Amino acid sequence: MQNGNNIPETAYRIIDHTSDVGLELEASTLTGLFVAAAEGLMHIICPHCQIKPAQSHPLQVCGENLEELLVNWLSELNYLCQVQRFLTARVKITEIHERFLQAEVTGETRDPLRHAMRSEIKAVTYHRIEVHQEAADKWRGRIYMDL
Amino acid sequence: MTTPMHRITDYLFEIPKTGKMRVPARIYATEDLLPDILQDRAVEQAAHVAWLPGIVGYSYAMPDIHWGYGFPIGGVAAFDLEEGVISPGGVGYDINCGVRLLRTGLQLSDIESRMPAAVDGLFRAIPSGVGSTGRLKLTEKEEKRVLQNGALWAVQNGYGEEEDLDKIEENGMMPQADPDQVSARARERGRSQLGTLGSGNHFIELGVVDEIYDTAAASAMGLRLEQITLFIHTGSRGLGHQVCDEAIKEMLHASRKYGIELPDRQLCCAPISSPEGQHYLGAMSAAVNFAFANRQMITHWARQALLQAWNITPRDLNMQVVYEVAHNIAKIEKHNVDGIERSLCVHRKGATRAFGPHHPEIPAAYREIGQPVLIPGDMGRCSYLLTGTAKAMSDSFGSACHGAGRVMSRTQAIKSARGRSVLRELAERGILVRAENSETIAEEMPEAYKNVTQVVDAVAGAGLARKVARLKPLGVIKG
Repeated sequence: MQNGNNIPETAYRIIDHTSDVGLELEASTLTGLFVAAAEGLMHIICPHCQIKPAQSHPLQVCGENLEELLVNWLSELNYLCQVQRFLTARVKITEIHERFLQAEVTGETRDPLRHAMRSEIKAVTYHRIEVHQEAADKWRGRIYMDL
Repeated sequence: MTTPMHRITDYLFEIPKTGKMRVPARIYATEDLLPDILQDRAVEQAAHVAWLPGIVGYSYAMPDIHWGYGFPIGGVAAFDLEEGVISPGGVGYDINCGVRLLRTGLQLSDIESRMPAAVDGLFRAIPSGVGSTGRLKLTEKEEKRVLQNGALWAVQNGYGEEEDLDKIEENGMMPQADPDQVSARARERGRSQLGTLGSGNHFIELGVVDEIYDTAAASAMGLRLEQITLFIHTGSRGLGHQVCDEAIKEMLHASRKYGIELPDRQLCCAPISSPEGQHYLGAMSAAVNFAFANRQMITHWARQALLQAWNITPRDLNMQVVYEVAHNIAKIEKHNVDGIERSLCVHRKGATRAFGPHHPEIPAAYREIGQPVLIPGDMGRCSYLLTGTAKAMSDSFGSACHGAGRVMSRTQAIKSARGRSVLRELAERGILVRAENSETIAEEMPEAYKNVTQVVDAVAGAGLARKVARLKPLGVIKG
């Protein structure tokens, strides 16, 4: 996935777990951290998919704090994928603060002939979730998903 | 953190009540199973469940305990209806994930050479895999009827026989279900998924009765050696996942509102009698009904597929439900606690109800032998059929284990399968496997799971269930 935020390459690392899967996130900005989370999510769902940036949708997500915002953000992208069959190629976060996120999500409707789905995410969880700023230019996060 | 644990018997260990635990925790296991159990923090999770208000007796874990979100998988906990709580983390995301066992009128020798046709037929007939959608798209109105009536809806709409319903836990319909408590988004997520297997560890398995340990009980269930059987393992699909997801969010707020101290956010809960508790109970029960209907529809299509694949009559196939159990559920049940009958909210997450003989809630045909307990293993070794006991009623709120439990992560399994063909290895052992995705077969390879025989022996050794029969896989459809 490419990020449309003109920020340096963000990073996610898949956490291997007996039953499920998690993401370790690192970025220089909060925006970058949420972009990395979206990239990680799509990697878990369909790691080998070439997704065309054919359509864009605005998306708004709220939460009581950054952790809830992260859960709700990924849950929304998962919902788009599972119910609307919309695969996300790129996200552009236009506004983010502790309790609100606004983004433009670009991608295409799933074509079973081109898009082999790898995992079905039941839910994004609060297990050992973390979102924190470690230094002026370093944000870290961790989140687990139930497969 | 190491959780202190001491041995009570060869099959039971106890974590004493310390800190904010309200009761001790009890883990059913053997010394042989302990290394796998202690590999993750599941035991600590069982201790954390004991923090929750109104918990009665002990926080239990079965021998297939492994790490879960909030409650461990394999966790059982009962709560007082007045002082206790209900927790979506005590049920899990796949509400009413469960297992149905069917028997056929056929012996292995009748169809051995026609197994490939059967496996291919089942694979074609039943949508499976990641993002699988069903053969029918429900209207909103019809979906609400599914949520209200469960397996009965399926039978009334031509999916299966009325007699199927007698052999399902709750007869395939939870009366507490309240479809209006299920959000539009959850209903939307489930609408195209009724009659689908899904992915992960869900499966359909043609098997054969390989060994009988209790002839009388096997006979009461219509089972004999070399008989062909069918297992169906699936749940409430995206609808249940969404119900749980939304309940967790609501319960996080409710836990704060009611001043419930949580050691882990995924244990969020609300008093059973509170509006939040009642809301979850109604929505969860509706998701339970969706899963009952799901397995009923898959049963119907499996019957059709096998009739066609084997070119036989319904009378020859004679495929009847032996029993169906839920293994992710919370239910209001009556239990005897210190000589007093009490109504409790029993959470079973990756645990099977195992009611003993003469319990009024088990089918009349099984009243003398106890409730059938279905324990599927991995796709290469075997599965077990057991019956619940009086000891389970007195010791574990009528509960036993639910399966083998993973020991390898999915990535580890895929790595371990590199350079091998798990599909071919299984075929060489007479087990045909079909899956939408070849990586699923590697992820679900037999070595990725504990040996279910050890788990079943621990449960039988503890007296929570009695072994009746062992089944060997012949053909498996993986989600």
